[in-house]
This record gives sequence, structure tokens and C-alpha cells, in this order.
Amino acid sequence: MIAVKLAGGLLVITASTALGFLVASNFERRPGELAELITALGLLETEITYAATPLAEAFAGIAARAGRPAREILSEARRRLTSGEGGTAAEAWARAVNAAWDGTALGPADRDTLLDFGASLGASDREDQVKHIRLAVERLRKAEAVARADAARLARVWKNLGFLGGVMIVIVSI
Amino acid sequence: MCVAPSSDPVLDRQVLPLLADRLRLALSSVAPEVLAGLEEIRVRLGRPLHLVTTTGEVFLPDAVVAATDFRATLELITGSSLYALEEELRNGYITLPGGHRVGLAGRAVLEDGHVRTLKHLSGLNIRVSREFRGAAAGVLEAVWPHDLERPHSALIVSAPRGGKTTVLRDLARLLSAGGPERPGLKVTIVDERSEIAGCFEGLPQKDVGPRTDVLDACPKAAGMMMALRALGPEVLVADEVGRPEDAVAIREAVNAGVTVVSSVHGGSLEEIGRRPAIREIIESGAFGRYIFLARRPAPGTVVTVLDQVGQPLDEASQPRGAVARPAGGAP
Repeated sequence: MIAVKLAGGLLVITASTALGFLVASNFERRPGELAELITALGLLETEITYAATPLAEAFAGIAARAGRPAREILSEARRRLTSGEGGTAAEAWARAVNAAWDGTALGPADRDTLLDFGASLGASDREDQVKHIRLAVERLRKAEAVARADAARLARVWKNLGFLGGVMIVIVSI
Repeated sequence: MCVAPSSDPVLDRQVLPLLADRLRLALSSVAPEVLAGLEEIRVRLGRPLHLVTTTGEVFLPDAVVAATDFRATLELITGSSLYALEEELRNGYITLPGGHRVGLAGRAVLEDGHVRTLKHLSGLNIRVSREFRGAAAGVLEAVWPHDLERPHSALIVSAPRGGKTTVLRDLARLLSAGGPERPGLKVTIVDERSEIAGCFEGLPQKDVGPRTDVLDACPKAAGMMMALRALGPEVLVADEVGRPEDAVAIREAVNAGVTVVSSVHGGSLEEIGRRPAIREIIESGAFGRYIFLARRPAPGTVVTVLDQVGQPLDEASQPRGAVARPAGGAP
């Protein structure tokens, strides 16, 4: 009987610890993902300002160099732009952001930043495009600073919480 | 998205995909005879879609262009990359794959008195470019009498939309291809506005002949000199000459023994002669033939051909029945 209880208790603790680590890993991944997006938008600004590269081509080039989730968003947006479905760049971008969403650790505010940025994509001159890119980068940078602080603090909290929570459940149920 | 095919591959594959879905649907309700003669699609913000055809014009009152339609159309035309088209915005038009040209209307932004770019675009004029093989067959004998060793230099003259570019392109093709009576010649097309060969990423989208090189998007005068130096053409083709430097380049070419075929806006020899640069070329006798075209009954109709000194060619060598007609499908 004891052995079964021990095994069950161990299982509960393992599961809740894993849960805690999962939540914590989201906090730890978010700053990195935001940084990838900031880098990608910076590259896009360069492509638009100095090379005047067409959008689809610029997306493809940046996607090849970027990490998650910028790569997924850019390559999906490019695919939609070149598929001949006849949508606008704003639509292609919004769909790509939403499609990549589930696999990311980003928050709803980050998504809003990306969608707001996409709304101005492709339909105006160079200066206007750059203005919108800079605005989005600015917002993402702020989010990144907050996310880094959160990652340091909350990730540890959640890891401990997961383990201790498991222990508590075991104690209560015994 | 689900648009009935109009049985015109140029429209279906190259032009209709440029329009926002709603406008494309509206166009599909237009009678096929009208679409077959379609020359221009005019998209104006807040106003109904306006079609100009060879026989007249049609407004589509149900297809009033909304802001979203206009933006979607503009994005499709520019590949969502308006920012990459500063040179085009400055010039007021964009050339598309297939040689179709989109004229732009909007608010000009000036810099030092020159147009720097256009903002707040509100009008698009999509000019459908069609290839009429055989459009120049009627004037070939006038330009190159088969007993001569090489063709005359020729200037094609007509009002806008008279078929100048179509005839010019076909003449380039015929001279390049040659035939039983005439050898093929090396042709270089200096295609400043990408209208003659309709190059997309450097590749001609129209049939311009097997011995033809194209200097795409190249300024005419500079391109003609480049061609003379580097490409060794027997025939130089350039659209719409008129600037003083064009005159210099044409004289240079003719003096080098190269045949020049070009075009100019105008109605008569007298009219085009009012422009100093053209007058200079006419007086120098560089052109051996002046070919006048009219829009009626169909663009590319040859009205008359004059010789070097402005006299009509005699009856025997005037072109007969030289009306440009679509020669069926592309090759």
C-alpha cells in the first residue's frame, strides 16, 4: 500500500513540476522571440530603405536568416503574397501572425503590435513604411525589456511553484 | 477568385489578376466582345470602373471603386511594394510583366520644382498591351523594298494609342526574323519604358524576333550609343524619340550605317517638325520613310507612307490593306 502511495505521490510531484517548468519556459522563451522579431523588422527596414527590395523577396531573404517565430511568420506571409490569392500584404501578414501564434510564447499585446504594424504594410512610400517599422520595433523593445525582467523573476517562481504545489497536493491527499 | 474565363489569355493571366476581387468579378459580367477590344481599365477612387475599348467606352455603375478595392488593386499591381517603385512614381507609370503599363494619378510631391513622388494615389489607368503579329506586314515592303540591300530608317508617326508601339514591335520582329526575300538582321531594341519587348526581369515577354537584343529600361540616347558600341546592331529600334540627345544618337547611328526605326507622337510631318529635335532629324534626311498611323478603324491602320523628302510613295509601293489585326493566339 505504501509503495502505491509513494509511486502516486511521486507521479503527482513530477507532473506538477513539469507543468511549472512548462509555464516557466514560456516566460524564458518570450524575450528571445521578441528579440528575433526586432532583428527581423530591423532587417526589413534595411531592405526597404537601402535596397528597395520588393516585399515578398525581402520576406524570403529575412526568413532564411531569422529564428523562431519571425521565420515562420515571414515565410508564411511570403507564401500568401506570392500564391496569387489576390489578398493585400496586410491580410497576408495578419494571417501569418495568427497561424504562427499558437507555437509562440508571445503575449496578446505582442500580437497587437504585430497586427498594427501589418496594417500599414506595403501600401505606402518608403518613409511611411520605415516610420511604421520603427514604431513596431520600439513597442517590441519595451515588451522585451519587461519580458526579460519577468523571465528572471517569474520563471523561477513558476518552477518552484510547480514542485511545491505537487508536494502540497501529495501532503493534503495523504 | 471564381471568375469565368474570358477566353483571352492575356487578360486572364496578366491583367485580371491585377484587380481587386470585387472589380474582377464586375469585369466578368462584361460582354466578351467588349473585353476582346479592351484597351484601358481605369480605376478611379470613389468612381465607377471605366473601360476604354477599341470601339468606345463602358462605365460599370455597379462597380464603384471603394477605398479597399483601390488599395488591393494598387497592392496587386505593385507587389505590395510601393516603396520600391520610387523611380516609377516619379515618372508616373509602372510597367508590368507582359508590357502592360499602369499610369498613376495622385498628388505630386515636389522637390526643387521637380516631381519627387506621387502621394495619395487616386487613379490608375491600366493599359492593356496586346501583341498583334503581322501588324507591320503591310509596311515591310515600304520600309525595306526587297531589291534594296538594307532597310530604310523609318519613323512611325501617330496620335497616342494609334498603334505605334505595336507596329514598331512587329517591324522589329519581321526585320529580325527575315524571310525568303530578305535576310534576318541583328536588331537591338532600346526599350526605355519596357513597352516594346515588355521585358520582365530582363526577359522579353513579346516576340521580338530571333536576332533581337533588348536594352531594357535604358534611357534612349545612352542606350543607342551603348548598342552601337557593344552590340553591333544592323537595326536600332527605340520608341518615342524627341529629345535633343535622341537626335544626336539617331544621327550617330545612321552615320554608322545602322538602320534606325523609331516612333513619335504627332499627326503630320509638319506637326512633328515643329519640335526642334525632330526637325533637325527630318532635315538631316536620316529617315527614309515616315509611316503615319490612325486609330480608326483599328489601331495600327496605316494611313500613308512618305519618303525621305516628305513625298508620298507611288501607288505601287503604298501598303495595301495594312490594318493591324490580332493574329490569333500567341506563338
